[in-house]
Amino acid sequence: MSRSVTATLGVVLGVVGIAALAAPGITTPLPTGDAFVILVGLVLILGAVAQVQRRRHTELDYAETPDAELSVELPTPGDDLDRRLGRLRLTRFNEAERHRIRERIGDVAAATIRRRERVSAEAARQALEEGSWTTDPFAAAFFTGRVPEAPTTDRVRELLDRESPFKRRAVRAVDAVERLLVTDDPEGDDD
Amino acid sequence: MTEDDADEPGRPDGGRAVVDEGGEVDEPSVGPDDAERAAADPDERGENTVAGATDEATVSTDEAAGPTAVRVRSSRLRSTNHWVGFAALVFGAAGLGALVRSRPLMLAAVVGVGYLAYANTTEAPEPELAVERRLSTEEPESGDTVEVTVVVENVGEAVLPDLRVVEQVPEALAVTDGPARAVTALRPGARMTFSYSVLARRGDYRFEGLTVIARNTSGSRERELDVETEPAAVTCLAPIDATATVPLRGLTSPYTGRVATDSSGEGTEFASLREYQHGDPLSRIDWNTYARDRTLTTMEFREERMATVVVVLDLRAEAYVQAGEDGPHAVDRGIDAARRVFNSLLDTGDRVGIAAFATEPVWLAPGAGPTHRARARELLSTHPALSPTPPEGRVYVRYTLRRLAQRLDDDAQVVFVSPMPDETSAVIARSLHVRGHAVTVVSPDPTLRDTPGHRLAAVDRSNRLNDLRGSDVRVVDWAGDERLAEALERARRRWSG
Repeated sequence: MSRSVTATLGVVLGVVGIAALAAPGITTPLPTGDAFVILVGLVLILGAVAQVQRRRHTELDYAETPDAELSVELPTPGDDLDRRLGRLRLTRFNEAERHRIRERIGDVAAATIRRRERVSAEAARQALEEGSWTTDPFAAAFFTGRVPEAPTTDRVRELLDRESPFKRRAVRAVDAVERLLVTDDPEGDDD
Repeated sequence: MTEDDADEPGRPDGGRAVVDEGGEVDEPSVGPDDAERAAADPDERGENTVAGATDEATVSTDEAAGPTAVRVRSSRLRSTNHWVGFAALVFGAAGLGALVRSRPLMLAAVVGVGYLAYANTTEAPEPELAVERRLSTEEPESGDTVEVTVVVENVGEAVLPDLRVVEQVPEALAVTDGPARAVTALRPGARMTFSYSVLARRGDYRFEGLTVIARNTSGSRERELDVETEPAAVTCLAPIDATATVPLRGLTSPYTGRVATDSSGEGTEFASLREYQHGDPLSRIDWNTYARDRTLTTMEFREERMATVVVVLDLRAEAYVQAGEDGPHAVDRGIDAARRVFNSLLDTGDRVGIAAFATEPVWLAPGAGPTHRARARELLSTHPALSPTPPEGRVYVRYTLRRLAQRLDDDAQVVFVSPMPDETSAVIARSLHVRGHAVTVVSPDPTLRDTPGHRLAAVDRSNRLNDLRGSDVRVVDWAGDERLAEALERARRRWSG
């Protein structure tokens, strides 16, 4: 509605302007004082600023053309854990997330210990909690939550590492779990 | 305007289109027939000018129907906000002109007003298009390249100053050459052609849609359409070959595809003796007894019959995993394995069927013979549930298990083909096993060992397979870089060892 009003006003003013070319006399009743012209100028400049602001706050809204050429990409098993480990920096204070990651690795670790040592599930869990399942003190510390029983130099090195101790230990725990299978399990080799 | 530059044909994300078949076709992606057509009918030229492309006529000697009109499935009109803020120039020039009393500045503002009028008075055209799609072959072998040529004709009255066409390539097919899209301007009656290549893979695919975007000249308004075209289909069947290489001895039963039963009858294994009845074959008379006490007795043997094997595929969304980005994914490998196992079992005289855990029912009752073989090939190649892309619906595992249990004969054996990505797959194998079916799991390995997450998943899967072996399920772990025959042979050694 306002659009048509302004359009009409614009057309009327345009016609008056063109008419003024032929008969300059018809513009005499219009105010032409200095103050008025400066006021009009300032209002116009304000209008320009408003337009600039409008542009800045308006996104171009072109239709997105679909990615027709790409075929679907499928995940590799374990992508999810990698993503979560990569996000640890963002979820630094998210204890629940750390707990979930520890659970996930712990489940696989317990199953692997059970398979390797042929022990019960409880015994495997206990080995995890005691840290007796691996020779890597940092991997063991991932589940025990205690200070790794490692030489001071190694611990200092861990502190200086770019990655958080949690992530570092998580990775070492995964490595240790994998080693359980590789070292001396003929079935594991055969898989 | 910088945006205007991006609107030119040949922009980085847009395809290059050839407008109007005819003489100097310098476009590499155009099919050879265009040039032929131009040579054949040099005088059939009309007039046409489009977007700086060749000024050639719409020439068509296609015996085929040519482009057919499309049906609009959905249409959406919108402002692109392309000119938003342009009025700042008008206001600025006029304001400054008023403040410093400069006539040229005031006049400059008038020019801006003209531009704005131009931008806002026109509406995006409503494209009326006819489309023809040509495929270099409709029945490619898996791995072949199929060239798709799309001809788009403006059959409406309006000029389409900025037309973008994006092909709706079936999701599972990867485009190997050329973008499947084009940008151009089309006058009424003018045509453009673009082409691209896709890599064929097992399955049945339909090309039946285009995304069309048409803008007005100033680019301020645009219309986005989803149109349905005359469908073109590609059917890529799995190869018939390569079955003899799968050593299945020991895979299903130690009797090479035959199972012994408790009933007496014909066979090779002695079962019992009974009194001779008239009509018993001479070869089954026990001559030793006859020599001893002159009575005719007939030997009975343990009856043997064909084994019944059902190949069960795991097609849940969870099974759609892949080791890395290259190569076939686990389900594709599984279906390939299923095909080989199926054919091998058929060759050794078993009755084989197919079932699947999928969003829709997949069932081929066990059978034998060439017709059965052909039916299985068709099913494994083109059944929609066996699509190379993950299903969207849910798979009801319990229901499918129950249904499968009803269908399976008591002594039927099961070959369960699954990458074993989760506990559910192990549950399936175990449930079939406890129902008394001999279960063999053929598992394409989808794991990698490059990152901690991948390594943990690999260990997890290895534990799962180990647990299954512990509960007497036979497991064939098929590594990605290994032929199926090798994996089967390795598994067989383990079973017999």
